[in-house]
Amino acid sequence: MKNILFLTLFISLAFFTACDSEEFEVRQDSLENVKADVSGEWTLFSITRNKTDISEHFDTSGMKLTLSGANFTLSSSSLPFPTLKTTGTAFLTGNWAFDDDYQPSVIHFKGGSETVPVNLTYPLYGKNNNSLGLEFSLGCGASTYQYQFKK
Amino acid sequence: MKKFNYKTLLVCLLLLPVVTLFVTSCFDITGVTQPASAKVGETIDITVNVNYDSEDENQNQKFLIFGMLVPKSWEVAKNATVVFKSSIALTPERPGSGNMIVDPVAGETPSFWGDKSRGLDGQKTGNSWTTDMNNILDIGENYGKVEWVSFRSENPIDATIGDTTVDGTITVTLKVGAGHSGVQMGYWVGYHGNGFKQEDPLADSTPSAKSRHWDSSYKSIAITGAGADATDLTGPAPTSTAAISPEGYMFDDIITIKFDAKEGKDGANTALFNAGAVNMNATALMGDATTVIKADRDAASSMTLTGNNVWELTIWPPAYFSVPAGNIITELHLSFSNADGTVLVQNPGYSSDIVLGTKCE
Repeated sequence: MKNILFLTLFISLAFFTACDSEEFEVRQDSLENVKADVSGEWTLFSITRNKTDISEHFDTSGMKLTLSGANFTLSSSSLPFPTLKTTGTAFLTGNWAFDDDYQPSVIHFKGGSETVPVNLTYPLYGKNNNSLGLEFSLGCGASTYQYQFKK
Repeated sequence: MKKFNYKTLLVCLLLLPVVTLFVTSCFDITGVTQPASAKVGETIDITVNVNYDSEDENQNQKFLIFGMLVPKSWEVAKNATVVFKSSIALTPERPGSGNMIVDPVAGETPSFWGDKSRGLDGQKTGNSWTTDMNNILDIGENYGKVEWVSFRSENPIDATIGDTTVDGTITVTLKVGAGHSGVQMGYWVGYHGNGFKQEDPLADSTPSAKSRHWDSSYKSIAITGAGADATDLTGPAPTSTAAISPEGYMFDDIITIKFDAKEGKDGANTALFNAGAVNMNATALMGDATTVIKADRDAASSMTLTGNNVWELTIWPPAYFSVPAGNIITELHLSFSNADGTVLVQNPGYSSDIVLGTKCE
């Protein structure tokens, strides 16, 4: 008798829960494998050196990074960028690729025989990205820089 | 009344010739074989070639004295071994070859006659050899942080060799210490009887005056692997008048140059103290030994006042100096001026720019 009573109670609760009709809005790109899209023209917004903002010392808006297909272009060589180091072969244009098209953490800039890996400072969405953060060293590995680009 | 001691008199009479016959003799350093460069931690050998002319002095109790000018941080007194060799071999008790011992009474008042230094006038000073070397001899092209360390032959030498010229060597084995990327080392050789005596102490009272009783020689050495904070002792002394941040940087980094107008010579203010405006004059020394000069006091070189007489300028050197492809910056040579260029501040105490290299571990 007791077993029948518990069974009846359980079935009632199960139906009661099933009546919940609340719906969640879920981003489509979280359910599907969508490549992170960062194509377009990015304008440098801020520079930090060892976590200190030093943007005021430079005309950051003069640095634009254009990612088009597999190609990239830098608009200026008057501001530092990992591909512009004098200790290597500096290049303003070339190819680029993520380490992982779907969940990238590193972007590789390639020019001639040189490949320069640059860390992303935060994850990217599949679409509608409006911020791109890069972290790198320029000369001495003890000093790190963060560039924040905006569209 | 104290009884006269005839034994003491006898000993004194026997020693009298030894003491009074210290008249002359001639030392010449004829060559120094020293590596042009060495690595920190490396053990190196240095050979000093010495020509000795007895000038018919005929002493049988002659201590050879040798001095080295070295960085203090190397602690050579603890780390070096010194041996000398010559063809003199008259008695085994007083050999012409053997070990040299580090000054056992450095900085103290010596009691043993072989440890008693003689000054420019040839008279005993009451000091040790090490003390007088540091008082009398110069430190070459070094700006400081070096010391003379003296050694003497472990045993006296029997030099009753007539009027003879002898070639010998003094060989030093030492461990290269840390702290400096370059130094001019020095060598001094003489003997206990004349010490630092000059040819004519009344006419020539400077240590650089020629003396045949002793000789000195200086030679530079470059040190590799000395670390980012190492200084070249032959360059201008480090100054806090100008500095570069961040702490670790190469010239591909964004660097901030700081000029402190309060940090002049010997703690005084610089000539730009309380200046209304300051510009940076900079020369970039390139890897191919060419230079790029930016000293036109333009807007880009204008510094910003960030504290009490502290001025700063943040630049990315490759763009600031328009470094051509394939070249790199190895040093920055800096001076600072007011707006119209009538006041110029260089390295305090020197008539040269402040030199800053890379600093990255």
